[in-house]
Order: sequence, then C-alpha cells, then structure tokens
Amino acid sequence: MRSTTEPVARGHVAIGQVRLVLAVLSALWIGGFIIAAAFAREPMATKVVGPFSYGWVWAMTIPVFVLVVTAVHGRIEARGTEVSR
Amino acid sequence: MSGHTLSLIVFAAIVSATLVVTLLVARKANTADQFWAAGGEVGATRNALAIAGDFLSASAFLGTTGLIFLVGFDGLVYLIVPLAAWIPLVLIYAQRLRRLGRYTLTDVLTSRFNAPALRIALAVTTLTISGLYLLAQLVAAGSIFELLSGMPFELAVLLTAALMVLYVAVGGMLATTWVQAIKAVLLLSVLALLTVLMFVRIGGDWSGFVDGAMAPTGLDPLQPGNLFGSGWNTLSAGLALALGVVGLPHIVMRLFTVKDARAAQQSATRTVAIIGCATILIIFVGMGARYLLKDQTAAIAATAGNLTMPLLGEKLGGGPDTFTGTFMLALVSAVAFATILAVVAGLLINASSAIVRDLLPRRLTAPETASPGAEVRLGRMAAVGVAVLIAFVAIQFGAGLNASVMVTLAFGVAASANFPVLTLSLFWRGFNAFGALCGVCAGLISSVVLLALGPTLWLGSGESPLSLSDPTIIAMPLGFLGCIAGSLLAPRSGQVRDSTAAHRSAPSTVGGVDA
Repeated sequence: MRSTTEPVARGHVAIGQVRLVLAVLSALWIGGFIIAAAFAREPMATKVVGPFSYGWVWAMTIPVFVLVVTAVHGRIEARGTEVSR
Repeated sequence: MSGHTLSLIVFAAIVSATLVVTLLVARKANTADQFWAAGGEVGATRNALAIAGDFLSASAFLGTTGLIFLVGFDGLVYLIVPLAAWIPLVLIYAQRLRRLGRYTLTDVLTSRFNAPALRIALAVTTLTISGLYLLAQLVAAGSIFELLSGMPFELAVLLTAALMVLYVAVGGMLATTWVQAIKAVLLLSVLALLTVLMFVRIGGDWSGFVDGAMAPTGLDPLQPGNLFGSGWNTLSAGLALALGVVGLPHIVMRLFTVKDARAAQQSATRTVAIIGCATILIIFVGMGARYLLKDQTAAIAATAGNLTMPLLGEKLGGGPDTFTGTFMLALVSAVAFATILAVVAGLLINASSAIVRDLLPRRLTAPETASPGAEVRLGRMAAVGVAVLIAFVAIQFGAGLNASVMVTLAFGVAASANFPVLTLSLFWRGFNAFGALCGVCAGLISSVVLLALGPTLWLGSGESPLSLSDPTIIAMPLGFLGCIAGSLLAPRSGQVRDSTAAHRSAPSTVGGVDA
C-alpha cells in the first residue's frame, strides 16, 4: 500500500533538486559576469551586436535571467503546494 | 510661474499624499509588534512593492542612472549585480529567515544563540549599515532639493531628515510599508513615462539612438574599469553587491511583515519581478541620458551623476524654458524625493529598532518593568537621535558623493559582517555563539577599518593608504574565518544555547523545504 506521505516527499526532493540546478546556473552566469568584468576587460569591451559589447549584452541578459529563474522557482513552489495538499 | 514654484507645488503634492497615508495608518501602530513589523499583517503583493521600494532607493533611481551616463559599463555593474542577489535570497534564505525570527536580523541570529554580546555586536553592525545607507540617501536628497527649490544643500539635508523622522515617529513600519508601496508604483510609473517619451523622441531611428548612446564621451562606455579601476576593485564591489543584499537588515526585516513563511516567499518572488522590470527600464533611461544629455556632462558630473534622471525628464519634457520641461523636472525630482523619504524611513526604523531592542537595557522596554507603550516611545526618540547624527555627517562630508557608491559601502559591510554569520547559522550545525561573535566582529571591524583607509572615505592628507575602494574581497573572508575559527576554538562551557534542533523540527511547508 502506498504511503499517503509519498507524494509530499517526492515534491520535497524535486523542489530541492530544481533549486540546486537553478542556484548553480545562477552562480555560473552571474559569477562569470563579475569575474569577466574584472579580469577579461578587452574581450568584454569588444563589439558583438551593433554598437554593444559582450559586456553590455551579458549585463542586459541578467535581469531577464533573474526573472526567468524566479518565475520557474515560483512555478515549482506552486506545484509543490498542490502536491502537498 | 517660476520653475522653482512649480517644482515645489508638485513636490508638496506628492509628499503630502504620502504623509496623509502615514497619518491614516498611524492609528494602528500603537503596539511594538505593529510599530516594528506592521503586525505581520501586510499582504504578499503589497509587501513585494514595499521591498522593491526599499531596494529601488536613490542609489538605483538616481545614482546608477548617473553612473551609466558618466562611466558606462561600470554603472551597469552597480545596477545589475544587486538584482542578481535576489536569486540566493529567494531560493535559499527567504523562508528559513522568516521561520526563525520576528522583528530584526539580530532576532534571527540570536534566536539560535543565547548570547547578549552577540546581540550587541549585531546591533552595532546594523547601525553601521543603516548609517552608510542613510548617508547616501540624504546626500542624494540634498542634491535634488537644491535643484528643486534653490535652497542650500545643508538646509535641504536638514529638511529631509525632519521629514523622515516625521514619517517614522508618526507611523512606524505599517505606515512606512504603505508609503514604500505607493512610492514603488510612482517610481515605476515615472520610469515608464520617461521610456515612452524617449520612444517618442527617437521616432523610428533606433540605430541612431543606440549609436549615439554608446558613443564615447571622454570615457568609452563599453570599457570595464572606468570607475572601478583595477579588476580586484570590480571583483570586490561585485561580491559586496551580490551577497550584501542577503545581509541588509532593512530588506530582510521586511520578510517579517507578512503573516507566514509562504507569504514571505511569495513576496520575495514578486519583488524580483518588480525590480527586474525597473532595472530594464533604468538601463534604457540611462542610455537615453547618454543620447540626449551629452551637452550637460560637466553639470551632471559636478553632482556625481545624481541629477541625471531629473535633467533627462526636463529635456524630454521640452527643455528648461518650457512649462512641460519644468513640470517633468519637478515630477521626476519629486518622485525621487519621495523615493528617498520612503527608503530613509525604513532605514530609520531599522536603526532605531537596533538601538531600542538590542542595545538598551531590557528593563526599559519589558512589559513587566516599563510603562505601556514605552518601547514605541523609545523607538521614536531613537529615530530622532539617528536622524540628527546622520544629517550632521551628510552636511559635513556628503556633498559630491555618488549615492550608488555610498550604498555599495553599506553592502560591503553587510556582506562582510552579516552574510557569513547568517549563512553559517542556517547551514552549519557546528556553528556556535562564540563563532558568531568572532565572525561579526572580524567582518565589521575589518570592513570599517579598510573603508576608512580606502580612497572613498579617506579623510587624511594625500593619497589613501589603500587603493581598494571596496574592501569586501578581504573583509568577507575574514568574517567567515572569524566564524569558523571562533566556533572551533570556543570553550565548551555549556553557556551557549543552540536551538538548532528546535529549528529543524519546526513545521515546514513544502515550498519551504530545505534545499
């Protein structure tokens, strides 16, 4: 017989794993930006899209990246709540 | 009607509206719970607007626009990286923090350790961070008010200080939350208006706009390092901006103004959406300033870039000699001023709570020994004291400082003193009170000393002894080192109460599952 708590436990595990993936992706994308801004100055100043450089393009992706990450996180939070109910 | 008169009418209308809200809400703020944490009755969306309001201070609205205008890429770093800090706050910290405490960051940390010395050290840290943050806001307010009314910088700072005391003394956290939410809506509306006006001005010439905005004005806006100088400075400021948010008491405190952990999580997520939209608009407006205001570079540089946004409003409205231009200048300035008032009110609550709840003897506020309402009265008196002190410092040393640069110093202290202790107290079972005390002291003392020796705050003659403008890259590891060394070397006397086990057994919602 299946335990009534099993879906909740599965929800916990899934949320934890997705959070971990999101955290690692964020650390790479944003940490990489800071390190590149600090130590890869010439490449970051190289034009890549019209008059914009790699640095500007990378910077402008970050608000969108943060919005997507939090939206995904909000979504799995909501699903987690459904599972627990 | 003169420009100054119109400016003052618009300004007075916006400030009066927020003050009326404060007075209406103030009737509820009679108990300590309502004064410090709005009684935990703020809804998730309104709280998100209020957090966004706290976050989008004069630094973001005025300072970063000015830095994008003056130095280009490095201004983007100031704007973008703090936004990224919300990812760890949302993913890892929000619900855990909400479950642990009720009023202040100090409450959260001392909930695990029964150590009066730690509470005092954390209160001093909170006062240092709030002080630096308040200083940045008052300096920006002085510049704005000077532009609006023509009154001297010093008088403008004093007037701002008086208004912020009025907000806090009358309303407490609940009123401040309302004012922040209103201000966030106003700020987003003004950003959207400037964006629309910019689109109208550009017409269809998108490539001409982008080429004009990205053309060098002395400094190449594509080049990193125009402001930070060395790569280590960039890295250090990046660390402060990315991790300092998690240790900012006045932001974390707002997670306690909602009714439960789930609402705190929802607040944090919605906050990111609001701030993300504002950030995108600020980038566009900053580029617009680069496109339209190149002939005013010297005037803008004289105020460290703090007046870029109001002057852009004036330009988009039709210029300084037109009614609409003057109206736009007044509108943007008034919203900027409302922004500052709302932020400083929140900061002032935070600073006064640290004094009353953490530094004063408990007998002065405990219900069994103090008169009813004593804690709230003391909170109001503390707010007046802090406001007077910060206004004095702003008048003496503040003129000519960029708001964003000043706020980054506060982020640096938060990242060095609070972040290590907060993180280890949530995630390391071996962490103890002595380690927390050592970590706070190491992070706080090293960051403040290194700041004083750095180029931004150096008051001595000649060049500063330290070239690192932001010390986080040194001070934060010292904070962690202090925590770890203190925990390992702590005497096992049994005097330290560690309630980690109690926290682990606390009920958890699924969304709040430990990652």
